[in-house]
Amino acid sequence: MSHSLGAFQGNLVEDRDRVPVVLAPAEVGRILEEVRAGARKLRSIPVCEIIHRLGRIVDAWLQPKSPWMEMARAQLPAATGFHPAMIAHALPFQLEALSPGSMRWLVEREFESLAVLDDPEWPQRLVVHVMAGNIPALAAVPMVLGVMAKQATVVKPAMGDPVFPYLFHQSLRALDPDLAGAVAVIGWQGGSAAVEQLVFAEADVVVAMGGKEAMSALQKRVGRKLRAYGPRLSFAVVARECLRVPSEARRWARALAYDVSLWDQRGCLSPQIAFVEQGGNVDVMSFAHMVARALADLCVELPPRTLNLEEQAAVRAFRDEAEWEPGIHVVASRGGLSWTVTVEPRARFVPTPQHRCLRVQAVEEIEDVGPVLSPHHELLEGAGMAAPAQRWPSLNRWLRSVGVHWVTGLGSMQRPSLEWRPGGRDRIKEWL
Amino acid sequence: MHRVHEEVLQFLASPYEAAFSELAVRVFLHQYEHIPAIQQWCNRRGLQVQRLRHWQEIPAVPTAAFRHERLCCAAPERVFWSSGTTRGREHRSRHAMPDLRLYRESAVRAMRAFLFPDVEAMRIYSLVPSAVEWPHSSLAQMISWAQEVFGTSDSATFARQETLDFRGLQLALEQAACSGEPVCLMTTTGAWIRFLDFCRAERWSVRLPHGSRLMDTGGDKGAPHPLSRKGLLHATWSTLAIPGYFVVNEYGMSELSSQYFDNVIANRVAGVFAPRRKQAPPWLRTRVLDPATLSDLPSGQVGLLCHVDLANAGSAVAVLTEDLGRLTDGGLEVLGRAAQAELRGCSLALADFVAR
Repeated sequence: MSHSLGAFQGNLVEDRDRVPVVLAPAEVGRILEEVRAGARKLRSIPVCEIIHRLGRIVDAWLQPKSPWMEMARAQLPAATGFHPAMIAHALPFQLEALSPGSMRWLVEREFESLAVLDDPEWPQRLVVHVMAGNIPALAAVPMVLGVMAKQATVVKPAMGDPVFPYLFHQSLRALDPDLAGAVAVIGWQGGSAAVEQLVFAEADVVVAMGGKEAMSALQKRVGRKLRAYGPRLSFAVVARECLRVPSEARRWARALAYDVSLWDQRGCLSPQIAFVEQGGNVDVMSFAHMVARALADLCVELPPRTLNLEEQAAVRAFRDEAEWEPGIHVVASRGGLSWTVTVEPRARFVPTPQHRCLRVQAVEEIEDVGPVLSPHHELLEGAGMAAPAQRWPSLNRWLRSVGVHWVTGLGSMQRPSLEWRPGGRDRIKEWL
Repeated sequence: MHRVHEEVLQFLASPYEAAFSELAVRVFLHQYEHIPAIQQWCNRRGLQVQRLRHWQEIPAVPTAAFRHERLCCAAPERVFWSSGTTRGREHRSRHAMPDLRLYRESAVRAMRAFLFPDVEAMRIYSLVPSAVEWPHSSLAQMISWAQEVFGTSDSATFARQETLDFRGLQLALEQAACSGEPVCLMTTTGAWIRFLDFCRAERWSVRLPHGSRLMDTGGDKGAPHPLSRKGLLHATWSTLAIPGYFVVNEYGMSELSSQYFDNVIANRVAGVFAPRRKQAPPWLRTRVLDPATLSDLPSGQVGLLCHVDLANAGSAVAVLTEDLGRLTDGGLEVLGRAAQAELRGCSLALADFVAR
């Protein structure tokens, strides 16, 4: 079965402008049939064994000098625009979450027992995942979890990451063809009528991530089968106890800058606002300058991608706006647009244009931010915390109550485990 | 009133291109002296304003400044608001003008050059509410002046607040067609697209007398659907028999006192055969800047547009827009609003949020 690779002419894409060849609808129909058949074959394999075998595939990616990882590192910079250092550094994060232990834990959380998946009556669906292009390597998660849940999985790569899904599927086929049979990667241009209509018509569920307009356009084409994950925002909270001494404050500033810089702040778990408590020995302005310094350092270690003209103009407009707004202080990279920090006197819910732009907002108490966040609870995703251990439980409870779905320590926001429920929803139950 | 305003008025009356740079610098220094916000901004950036020599060295005030500060060298005579379609009403730009003569002179002289180079007066029908109804719209003011200066007594306005009187306009156009006298239509592009849709749905069309013309402005905002320039020209021809060379698109913004116009009528009257270009009167010049460094880009490259408008003598002479565009042989090409950069992925970005 070479259909997923067949979607490209020649070798795997190295040229990011090359668009997947549109398959003929008849061929797509055959692929969908094969994927369903592949999923039916998974019924005879116990879920424990599937998880074990999937773990081996993930391991093959994560082991030192993995040929798969090498290929991804070689091809993704050109295909996605991210700097090779960023790809090399951050690509493993999505895969690390897919350990056998956490997969078992996920099934038990959603279905109480693993055995449920081995039930002869266990439902099997054709689940189509329309990937978003903001971060590469996201496609590994639906492919692995789809196989684990014995579903027929179709992944549509995003324009922003046209390589990784094919590469991961290739590794599945090479390492475990039986499991790979339940997965297909089919590329088509958004809106390209014939293939898309066929795939959406055959699908039982369409899972899609993307901006508001993309989602409402899909809603019209897909209807009730759609599980849409709209745009989301994440933020950081910094307690005054973490700003007692400059060295400690610098450590947290570095952690915050790291979460901002990873994937150039394009993830929905990337913090765009930091609510920083006043009253520490290090004041908010000094802390913001520490963050700025750390952002500048990270531009050397993890260089930002080249921004297109629109993106540059958006960052410029963000800076100009902040510079003229009363009470706001701007700290920004000189001679370029690599990073921007605005220091703001009070909390408010306004995103940034991404591309390493952060709002640092002074607050009396973190919990005071509630009324600012709650009107936008449907837009919240994750929060990174810098707080002493004794404040974790109450802050965690409070964050969950305002609508945050993923709480973690500052500095690890971009390494979500399977505990994260994207959009506050179950991962597998959503497909059934 | 300030002496420099008089000098600008003089320049408008008899533009001497070589004097532009020096006058622009003097206008800026006047603003530096009389507008505290501009002075503080320059000082914060450590700018040595006395060293400015050339119009291209004038620091450009971003349009964002008009959202937060009153940039006005004296008590304002009028305040114009932007439509607020991009960022919501509470984030509108406010352009306070201390000397309305500057705007009026600039608008009237530019319209004479680009819209009415061949006629003293004609009937002007407007689809924008009058300046009395919309005192804060700079477009409404401009069209009211057009009707006052270039309009015959039977000029009329077919818009009130939020309602457009398409039926009334159709009747008036039919009468105009019978009378054989050409008319000038002035409208926002959005309202014009709606009017064209309305006519098509009714299968209504009319043959307007030769010399009839259309000025539209404002891009697609408020339009029921986007329509390409080609599509608009075609529909305007087939519905009203106004040929493309009598359709002038205006590009302006509430933060400026001068505008760009298509040069088609001016060229035709002057007997020049040249492609359609957006041109400005001599007192408005444009730089195209690299958004990252704010340095000038070579001609033909796309960048952020920065306008230096002498008629803005009372507010900010150099304005950095959020529009992307380029200068090509003798014309300006506006490619659109930068903040509407295409969004990818599931992360919420500022542009997505403000567009809500």
